[in-house]
Amino acid sequence: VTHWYRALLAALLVTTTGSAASAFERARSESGAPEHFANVDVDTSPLTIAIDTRSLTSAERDAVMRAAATWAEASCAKLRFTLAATDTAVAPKGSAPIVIARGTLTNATFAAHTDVIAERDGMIMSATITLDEKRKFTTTADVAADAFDLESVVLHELGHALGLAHPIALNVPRAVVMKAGTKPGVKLRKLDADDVAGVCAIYSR
Amino acid sequence: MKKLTMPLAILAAVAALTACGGQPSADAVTSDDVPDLTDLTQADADGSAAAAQVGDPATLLAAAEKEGEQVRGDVGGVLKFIKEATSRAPDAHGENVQGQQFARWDITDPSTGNKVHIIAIRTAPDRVRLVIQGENGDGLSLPLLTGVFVKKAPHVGGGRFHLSFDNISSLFSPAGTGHTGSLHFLFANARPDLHGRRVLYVNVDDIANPSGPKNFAADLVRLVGVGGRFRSIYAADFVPQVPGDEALGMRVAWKDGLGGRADVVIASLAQQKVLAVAHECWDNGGLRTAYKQVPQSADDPDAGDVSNCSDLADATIDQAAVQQNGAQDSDPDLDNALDSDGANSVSDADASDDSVPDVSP
Repeated sequence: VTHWYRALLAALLVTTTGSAASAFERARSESGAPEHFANVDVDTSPLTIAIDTRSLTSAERDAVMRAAATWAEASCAKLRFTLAATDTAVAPKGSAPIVIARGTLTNATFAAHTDVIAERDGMIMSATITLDEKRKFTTTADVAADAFDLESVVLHELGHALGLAHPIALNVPRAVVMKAGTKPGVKLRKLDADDVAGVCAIYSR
Repeated sequence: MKKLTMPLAILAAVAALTACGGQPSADAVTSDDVPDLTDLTQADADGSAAAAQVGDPATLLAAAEKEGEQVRGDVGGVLKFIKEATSRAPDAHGENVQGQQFARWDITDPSTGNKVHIIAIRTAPDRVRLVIQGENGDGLSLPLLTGVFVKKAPHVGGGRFHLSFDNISSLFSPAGTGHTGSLHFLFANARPDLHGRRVLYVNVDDIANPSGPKNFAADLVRLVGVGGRFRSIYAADFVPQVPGDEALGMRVAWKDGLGGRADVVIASLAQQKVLAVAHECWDNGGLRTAYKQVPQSADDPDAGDVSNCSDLADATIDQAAVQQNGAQDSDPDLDNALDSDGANSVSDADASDDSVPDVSP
């Protein structure tokens, strides 16, 4: 009880006290254990990403890997990503620790969703990111007002895949990648200090 | 606080145990005498938890769901365990020397030697006392849960239970881990139109990372087929830069298929003043439709009209009424249900009676 209430309160009180608080939130398994990939190491055990080459273009695959690289840039974390062999057209769920594909999302308010399969102890077995096939995504430097920036959306979803949840505090700055909610025309391709603190809490060197 | 769930191995052992035979008498204690609080302890699906939702998701809704998840984990975990463990015939049953019908289910975790005994004893035609006695591999035996279920029909009625985090930690947690304190809950689920529960965490603290005992209370009311409401109060020294303890009061109300609203007040108990207030409305998709905060925030700017979102104007906090009631924020409908379903008829002494029932046939 204490943890999330502290976050909620502390953030609401920022305007009162003038001091910021950490807002990042870790995703938890059904038994309450914080979720994480096991045995991740920057040198010896990178995380493999399989991208569905049938539904994502080459430019989109590049954007995915740029988003992954952004998470890996957090120097306090021992993260590195590699791209799985892409000679198969479809990357099925579970074929790599992280799988990304376009697909159907039943919730009409979602642009993307990450399905994380984790053990009761929190160890993540696989994470599948689905980009809503009905949405318009872009990879251009300038994001059109009617399109979702694919790199920004994948950056957020990779945070879920790594074991982060949405911050539940009030008044979370809009620069925080893991803040809930996305809108077309918005570009958010860099991590906020709070995102870095979150990923480093899970994968600290 | 970690979620309280019994080890899977214990649950698995339940299925492996062989039931006793025999035909139960008319007033025999059976699995019907165990409450089923599924709709008060089961999580609502939260598909937005790991999604990029288009728009501004409601923050206070997410906070309330997180809180509900915590309570469900603690209460629902225990109730689900009891329900599953007692779904088979008891390992022992009959009449004790006082002439009371009893049933006992024994569960053993073969990997640790930990044992749990669920003992149900009928103390009145409509009243069953429940005790869960734990025993670890070292032979230490302590009561984990005590309480009384007032049965109105199979699995439904009212009740009051106490759960000891101290004893659970002493028996089953590695040294220096677990939690202190206790969890007290009352429920009412006999009425067709309204189910509710009241939960109190008393002097709860993390043994490994103590930060002082904390107290928390939450009411949940489900208006069957209509919606529901949730209110909570929590007091602790959340913010070191503010002297003394702070209290956070939250009210959430929703209508099925329509949306909802949340109102939050944070006050300094030492300074006797309100520090911040927030109001939020959301639509059926969980997206914020209006927001207001005092003091205002640049990151969550005020927008829209929070006065009557989803036609729930009367669900907001009536501060004048709260002050007249000595800062208590009661829910008369829940109180009435706890009365009519029997939960309030269980005294604190009966609910916390941790003596081991006599189950000698």
